[in-house]
Amino acid sequence: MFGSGMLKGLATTLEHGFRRPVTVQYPEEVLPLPLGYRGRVTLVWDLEKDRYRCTACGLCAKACPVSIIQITRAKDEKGKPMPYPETFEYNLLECIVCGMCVEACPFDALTMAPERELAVRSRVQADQDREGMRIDATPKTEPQRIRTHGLGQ
Amino acid sequence: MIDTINNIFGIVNKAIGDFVAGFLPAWVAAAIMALIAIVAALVFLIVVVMLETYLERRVLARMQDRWGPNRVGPWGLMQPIADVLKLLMKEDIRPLVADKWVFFLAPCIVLVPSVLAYAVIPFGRGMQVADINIGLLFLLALGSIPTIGVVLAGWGSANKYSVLGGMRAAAQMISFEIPLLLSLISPILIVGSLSMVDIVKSQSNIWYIVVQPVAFLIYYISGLAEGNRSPFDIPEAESELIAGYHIEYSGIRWALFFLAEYMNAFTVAAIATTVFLGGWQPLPFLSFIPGYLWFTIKAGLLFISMIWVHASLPRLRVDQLMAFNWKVLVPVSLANLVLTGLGVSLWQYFVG
Repeated sequence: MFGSGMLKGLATTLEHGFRRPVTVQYPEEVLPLPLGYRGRVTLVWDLEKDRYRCTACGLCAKACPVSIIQITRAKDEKGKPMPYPETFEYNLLECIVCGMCVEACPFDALTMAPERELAVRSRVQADQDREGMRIDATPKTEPQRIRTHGLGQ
Repeated sequence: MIDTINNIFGIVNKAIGDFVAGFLPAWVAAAIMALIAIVAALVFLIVVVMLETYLERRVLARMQDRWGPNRVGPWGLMQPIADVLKLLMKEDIRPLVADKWVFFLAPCIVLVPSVLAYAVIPFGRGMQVADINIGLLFLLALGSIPTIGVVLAGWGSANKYSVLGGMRAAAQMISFEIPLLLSLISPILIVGSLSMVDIVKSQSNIWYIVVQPVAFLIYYISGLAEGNRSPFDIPEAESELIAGYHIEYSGIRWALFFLAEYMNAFTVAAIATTVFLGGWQPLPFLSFIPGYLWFTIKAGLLFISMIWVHASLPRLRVDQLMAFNWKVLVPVSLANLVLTGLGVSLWQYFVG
């Protein structure tokens, strides 16, 4: 306890005192987000087909544990249902960012955007129709998926 | 030019003194000069204490791989001011069953001796508030008074944990005064005088840390313990007795304890500088740096080493603390004193 152990301890702290601290001073410095980061859920816009990949199948709404996705299917002029969502409502304030919806979607139409600054000053702000909600992808690019124990693609 | 910078405070002092003595009676002039000296010392003290709180947080943080306060002002230098403003605005709470006068007096008794100590410390050539010929005795006596303040703080808070903390702190402070004294007396035997100015003057050839390294080490350790600083900070360790004897104090009352602790720490560093490190005496090849800067550098480096120790060593349990004091420090300092006395008398006998 006394003696050489103490001197070694003093030497260690002195050495650490001259190193650059490991603290990342947010928001001036940000750490890059890792692959598979679970952020806000977004719809994927297919650049080749020039439409959202979503076909309004409703699997994501069924998979969501907190039931915050509401989908209504679009109808064409004659009233026949089309494989396209008329409205896709997603409640950002109640989302638990689990990624079940992304896993459930068979069309790769949902992904988790690498966005971490999601704070809003009022609920109204969170309800806005976000144009930035969509992420562009071609059929060749693989949108971000979460990795959960090797299940899914 | 270098001489001017070296003696700048002395020159200014003399100029003011001559000017004031021109049209005021002698006693008024003397009073004004004394007041100016006191104010200068206090200003230095306040600036130093603010810097100390800032340095402690910064240096401690850097040694722990983090930044420390760097937002408030450039490099976080305004942080102590922000702290003071915050503490001034806090609510002054007093436990209802606490003894009002005891509760009120305790911080004062702890703070006043710490401030008073700066009256006799020589900051430079001719730069002390008062050159009394028992300077060191005065300082040691002052170091014993905060003990009663600590006991009063613990008792006056009407809180079991506070009382316990106060008792333990008092026991620690009393016990470590013995090696403190004994280790300081050893160089005094060589100097032959208790006046701080004489002590500094007699170190113009060699600093006493070279002659009495053991005494310096024991003084440093006892000083840490007297000031309740790590690794001897059981009385104020947050995880131990909540916050020890000053748990019930809030706002500016707590700030007084806090200030007293940092002033104490600097006093320990200042006395160590004066007695062991040559005070304001410069190193022979760097004598262009003025004396008061030398003093500040030496005391500052000692204080930073105290922060270094704080960052490195784990806290001692109270029984380990006491055992260390009575079984190690007291015998070693006694032995040092006896050997020094023997050496001095043999020297005087043979060399005369």
